[in-house]
Amino acid sequence: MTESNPKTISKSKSPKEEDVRIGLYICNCGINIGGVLEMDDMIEFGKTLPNVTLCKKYKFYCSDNGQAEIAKDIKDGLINRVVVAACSPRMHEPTFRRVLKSNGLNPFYFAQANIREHATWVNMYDHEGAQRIAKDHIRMQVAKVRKLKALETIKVKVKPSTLIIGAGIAGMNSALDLADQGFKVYLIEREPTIGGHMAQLDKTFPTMDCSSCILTPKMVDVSRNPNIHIMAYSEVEKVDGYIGNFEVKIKHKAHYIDQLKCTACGACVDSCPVICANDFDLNMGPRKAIYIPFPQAVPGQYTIDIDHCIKCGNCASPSICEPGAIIYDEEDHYSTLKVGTIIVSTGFDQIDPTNLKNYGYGKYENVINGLEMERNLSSTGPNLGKPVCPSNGKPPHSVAWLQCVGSRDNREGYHPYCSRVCCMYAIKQARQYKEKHPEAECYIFYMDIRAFGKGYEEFYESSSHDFGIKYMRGRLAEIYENPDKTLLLRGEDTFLSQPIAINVDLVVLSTGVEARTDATNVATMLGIQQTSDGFFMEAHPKLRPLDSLTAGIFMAGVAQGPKDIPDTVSQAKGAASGAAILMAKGEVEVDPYYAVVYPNLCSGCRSCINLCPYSAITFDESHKVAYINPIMCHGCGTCVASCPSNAIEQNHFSGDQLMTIITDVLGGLY
Amino acid sequence: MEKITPNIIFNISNDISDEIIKDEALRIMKACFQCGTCTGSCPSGRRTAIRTRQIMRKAVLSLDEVLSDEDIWLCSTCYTCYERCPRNIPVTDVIIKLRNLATQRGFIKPAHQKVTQVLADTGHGVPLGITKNSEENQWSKARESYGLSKIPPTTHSHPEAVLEIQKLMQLTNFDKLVKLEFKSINEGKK
Amino acid sequence: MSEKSVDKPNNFEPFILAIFCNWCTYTGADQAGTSRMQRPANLRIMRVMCSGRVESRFIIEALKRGADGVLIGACHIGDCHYVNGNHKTVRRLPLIKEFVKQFGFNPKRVRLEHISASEGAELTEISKEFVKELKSLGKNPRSSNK
Repeated sequence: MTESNPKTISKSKSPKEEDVRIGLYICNCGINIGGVLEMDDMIEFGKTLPNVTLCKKYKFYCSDNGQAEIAKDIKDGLINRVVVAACSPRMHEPTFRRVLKSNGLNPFYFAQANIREHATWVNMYDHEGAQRIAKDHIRMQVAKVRKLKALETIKVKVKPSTLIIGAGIAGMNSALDLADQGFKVYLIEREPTIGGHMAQLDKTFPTMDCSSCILTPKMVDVSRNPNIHIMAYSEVEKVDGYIGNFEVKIKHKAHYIDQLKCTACGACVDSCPVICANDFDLNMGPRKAIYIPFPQAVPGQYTIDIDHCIKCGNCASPSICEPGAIIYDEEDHYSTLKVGTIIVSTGFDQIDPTNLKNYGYGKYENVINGLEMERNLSSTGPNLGKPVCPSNGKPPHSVAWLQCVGSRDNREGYHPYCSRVCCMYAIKQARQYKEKHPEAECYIFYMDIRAFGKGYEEFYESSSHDFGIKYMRGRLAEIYENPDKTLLLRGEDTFLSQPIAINVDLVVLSTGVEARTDATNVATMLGIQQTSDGFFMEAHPKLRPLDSLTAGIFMAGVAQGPKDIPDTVSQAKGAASGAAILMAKGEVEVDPYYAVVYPNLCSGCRSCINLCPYSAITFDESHKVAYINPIMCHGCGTCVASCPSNAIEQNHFSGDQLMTIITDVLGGLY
Repeated sequence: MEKITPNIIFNISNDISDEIIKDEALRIMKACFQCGTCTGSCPSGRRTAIRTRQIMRKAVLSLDEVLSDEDIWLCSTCYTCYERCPRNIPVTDVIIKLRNLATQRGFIKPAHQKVTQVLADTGHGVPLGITKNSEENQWSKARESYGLSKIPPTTHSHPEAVLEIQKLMQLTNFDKLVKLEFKSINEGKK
Repeated sequence: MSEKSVDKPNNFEPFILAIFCNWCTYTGADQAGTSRMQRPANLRIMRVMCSGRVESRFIIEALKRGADGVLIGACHIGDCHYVNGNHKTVRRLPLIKEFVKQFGFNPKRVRLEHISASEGAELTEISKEFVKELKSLGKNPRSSNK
């Protein structure tokens, strides 16, 4: 760190500008830039800029050959600053900084002019306009690079521990992978048991293996792994800190049962007089107010549903609960953790189809959603694996599945994206029902069947070939209930161009997935972004699909976007690997964009101190000046902008550097 | 034996669709994915031959038959398809636009032509049935019982205003579009 | 105090200095580019780490030197990568507008917009609209002399 002890440094003057020799490299980026801009004119323009010693163009400066050209010019001593005019610096700034560094130049003597995303791609037909913007963007970065100072990256230690938020199939796989590599894992789950949505499923497509048969052994592995600390029925309250050193506050919701004393004997359940709806079965079946969500739950200890509990005291009597684990007045408690990395695997909510009035969900008894059908089919579900119509408790003679309910729907309140799992789960459910009732009629009303995965198309083919499921091409228009509670479906068979009106006993709306309703809270808490559909945003959709934009935070599973179980598990392993890389190295380099106080200018007014969201600024009583801890400073620059004495500078974004950008680019206007 | 005519689409163009999407709000029409919700929702389609989804398809592919067939005239503009379209396509508006195009290209049904003629003659698409003996007009009795004038203050009580309507029709070339004959104007000239 | 009425030719291309925060609006602008959302060629984008870094002198200097408009792009309230830097920009804005007025410029030339990393479409709309507004305001009086 060059400026690690700011008290001894006075505001140094920028290096003499005559010493600055800038190499300006304008990238064609194939035809992305070269196809829009007049490259020869750009080169001529570049040569006229002050301190630009050489100006070149090339097809792809990010390629090996392009990098080698820059490297050669540096090694030959022709240039000591580099500007690359190409794509977004968010894409290739690290690439080119490495070129500078490996050729003996300080990597911060580099600036990248964004002439692709911000010029040629947004002015594909207005070539003149694109040229104008590209020139100005180059002018701005050449101005900036003249004023840049050499900086050293900060090295930050990474604690060898991970927080995983959400213990579904994604969180569990990431946890196991990291724990097996020797890292400490804190696995947080807000429900009383880990397992997530997969625990509610009956079978999985396309192999038809039983979901809990493959899930519950994993859950046991997680609970037995000494490196994994499961925190069930807990939620993250607050996250502070930065990559390598996150400080997390966790709320442990009260179970009203001492989890250490509870032996999971289950005697309390029989004694409980309260019967309420079982949310694990989507309220289709009953449970007691003292419960475990399902028999294989991990951890296996019981919880009291305090909203329904009448505190009769039956379960607390020593003859029922011998260890005396019941605590009616238990309160939520909090703890804090320090972790190096975070994986977000918070999963999804099912789309609520209630507002699609033409389908009558919530109004007609025999219209149910996909997850309800899943519990209906499950042998651990409310009907013990014998699916029935909710109206009469009898197995339906005919069932229809409606695809794309709430997804592929641009209307307000629904989602334009494809949920990716509904086609396959509908086919799977239809096949399961056919296996149990070969005489039944099964219809799937669809727009497109998206059987994209390994073995999926074959599964789709076999469902009609071997099981006689009827595929009806056309999105249903409306459903009416007949007096006998059967349902009249109206729509069009688009292959025949014929309106159809058929009666069935049960309708399953193949509801899609959507981002958790509280995903925004999680994003805000962690400082990560969401895409417009509400799912968490990846740093790059193709090359960094599991990293968030905040260093040290990764994501896995449907929290990032709709996907099926194989994709979720792959992502979970990828996210674990991303976190493990950071922790195995033990330290990361962080951009040294921290702010520095010039003590000889600081008047000690302390107005910056309250502005800092990270408490990085302290007041040095002996010298009566402010001091910024470079490790705690995140480099936002808010204090810099507010300092009345101009006594604070932000590395790489100093007032001098930013003002030069503005004056140079506008100088051209006169 | 009946002659078999080949039923093959030879010509796909942007002729009609370009015309439609001049109205920016209808541009989304091109995104129709043919789900069939519109046909299934169509109360007219249960009784008649209208297949809304097919109209949309033919419009996107600009098949001339979409203008010449009578299907577009079978829509009752109830807007159910408009409300349910998952791609947010203003289906009913597209059909209305197609009707405009059809009329411009000379595809107009005699009944519709007659209605416009009645409009040109009386100032009303559906004129009041005024008989010579006003005692027989049930509606005028009803009006009087509410304290209203016998004949409403429209062109029925101001026949001279019909000329203004005809003038407007001439200025907008509506008369040529639907081939109107202006009796009163001609009479006036005589 | 406001700008003297100058002739307002609508056919000029306003120069907009855009100061975007790295995490939301700059990324949103990248997204607009990746999605090829076409917008008028008027934005000169300068990147800062946080909109909280925006100083009033940047804006005054830009206007003094002839920029027709300044667009500050920040995260939505609550989404700031640095907890609440954008709050401070919002709080600073009325002061900045006051300065701008005192320097004799129309405060409408300065805008703060909250545009997230996924809102390339919003950025495109906002820049179209801002260009339209600047055209109706006319050239910056400092540059129209030339």
